[in-house]
Amino acid sequence: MKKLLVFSLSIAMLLIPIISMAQSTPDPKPATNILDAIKIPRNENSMPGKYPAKVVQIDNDKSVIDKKIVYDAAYEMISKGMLELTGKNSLKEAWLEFISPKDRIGLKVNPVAGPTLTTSIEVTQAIVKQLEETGIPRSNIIIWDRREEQLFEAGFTKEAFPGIKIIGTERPENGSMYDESGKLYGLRMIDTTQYYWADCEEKYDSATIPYMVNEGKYSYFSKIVTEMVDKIINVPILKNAGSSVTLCLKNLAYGSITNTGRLHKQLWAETVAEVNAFPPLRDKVVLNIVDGLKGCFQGGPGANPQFFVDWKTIIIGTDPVAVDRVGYDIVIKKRIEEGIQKEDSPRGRSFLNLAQDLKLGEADLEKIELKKVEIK
Amino acid sequence: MISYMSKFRRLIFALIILLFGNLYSQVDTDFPKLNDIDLHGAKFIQEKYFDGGGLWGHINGGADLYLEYGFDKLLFQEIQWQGNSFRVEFYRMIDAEAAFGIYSINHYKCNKQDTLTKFICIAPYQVQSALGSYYISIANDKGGKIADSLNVEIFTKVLSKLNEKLFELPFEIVEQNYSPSELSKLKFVKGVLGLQNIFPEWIGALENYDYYKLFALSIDIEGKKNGVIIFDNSLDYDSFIKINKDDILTKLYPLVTESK
Repeated sequence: MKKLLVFSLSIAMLLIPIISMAQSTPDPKPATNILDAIKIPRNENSMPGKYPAKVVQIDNDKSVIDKKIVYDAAYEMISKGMLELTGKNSLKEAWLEFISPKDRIGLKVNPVAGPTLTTSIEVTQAIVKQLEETGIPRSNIIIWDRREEQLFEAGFTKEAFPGIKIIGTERPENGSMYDESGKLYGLRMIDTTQYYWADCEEKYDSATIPYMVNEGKYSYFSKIVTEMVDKIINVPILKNAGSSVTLCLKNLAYGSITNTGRLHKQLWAETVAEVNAFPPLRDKVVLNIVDGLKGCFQGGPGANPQFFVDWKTIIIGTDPVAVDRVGYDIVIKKRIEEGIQKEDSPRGRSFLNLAQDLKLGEADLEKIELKKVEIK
Repeated sequence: MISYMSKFRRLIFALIILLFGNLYSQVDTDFPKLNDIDLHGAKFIQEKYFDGGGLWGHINGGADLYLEYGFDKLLFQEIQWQGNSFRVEFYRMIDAEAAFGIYSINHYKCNKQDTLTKFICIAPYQVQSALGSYYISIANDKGGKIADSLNVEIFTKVLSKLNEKLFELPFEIVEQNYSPSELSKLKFVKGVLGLQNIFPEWIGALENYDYYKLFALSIDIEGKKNGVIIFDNSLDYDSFIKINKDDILTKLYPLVTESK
């Protein structure tokens, strides 16, 4: 028999979560192999990096004009941010804090939502330019994500980035995702010795498996992060994911492993935090540059133009948790201002607390040193 | 012999590729697919179908919300027409209710909602609609008067190709006598991801129930939140009442009744 409740009081409704959370017992979370990661010794590059709990936010009202991102503005914003973050006198010195000309450097972008809501080509080109000016040859730079096809569609092409390798873990060759023996090309791109294990699994149909690479309880790291790069510069776009965000930690975690479909429902926050605690990410990500020139406050991670916004900001830091915390605040304030949600939900921040517990960075806004720079 | 075997293996491989290729790009004639007769002079850049979990391949984690409501298949078309680029997405959901749910979550500030069909949001850059079991989004990359009016023109072509029975609001909502303007703010949620998107403050109260339907207005009327929670079974209903009784129930839910 169907039954219903009709409600019409707002203030008291807000009390429900508090009371019912106290009285109901949520399902236990599936176990993961996070303890394996914690046992592995850290190195000098390990998160939260050289500047824990320090974040620089650079605003520039002229960075987007007539709906187009201005390359020169993006370049200047990143320059100022790098100098402010490091306290160095020259841009080259600032970059050399994190990288050396011998390093193979991976730029982790986020093209998932297509050309209208991607890490911008302009910001990425500005980073490439500054790397070159620091002495990094283009042949040592890789632009990468999970899906090679999405990279191309979003504009990360050899024409826009001559001399730079653009590659995804899930990649076709000669128009097919499968090789001569019927195996996915993606299988050649994964490192089966490094994985995130979680006690949950999902069966994928034939249309889904090319995007997951494998089934079962293991999510393998891409060889892009385990073998092909020495350092990673993380370049996410400032956007929401429901009442949370998909910024530094999410971009890295879900972009670096296979078999993610099984993890979304029960272990979203855990995956976002824990995958970053494994050496291929924890010890290689030296810098996070959030492209907040354009982004969205609802509809993310997909592209829904009604919710697009020109934030006209860039957020830089080595501490991905602190950077995410600052970005989270920007997105949630906008959501509240626009009436999308009434108030901040602590659940949206749970991945930050988990990441902080794993010593990946600082999640407490009060403890984060936020430097704001405004370019006029 | 070796050469013969090698040729034979190559043939088998070609057949496998053809088979996979066919599965991968299987067309579906039920979709209101746009063609160059609909849009004279248009260039069709790409056309892709995504089944079930394959939606992860299109929008990654964004797919989960669609799967929560009940997703069947997506046709995505990228079209260049009259100097503009359009992304047209036909999400075929499991039923009209699921399509309405996705539409309700995805639309926001609309310039027009009272034209062409019952559930439509015409906004800068984008037209969205719930047409029977389809949630449809047509978005251009430039915005502005011309591109936005082309969005609407494309939508009318789609409309002429579909003869779907539109979603009917449940009686429990109809009897609340909300105005059309209020009803345009109606959101429908049936799972935790929907709650996360639009009513995160209610997750705690509802996350442990699998079978409910929450229809609520995203605006307050005279300071009050309005809506209906429909539980599919007595067990969940009784449990919800038990957990939220006394202090909350008498204040929160002035009307408690069985569904009609």
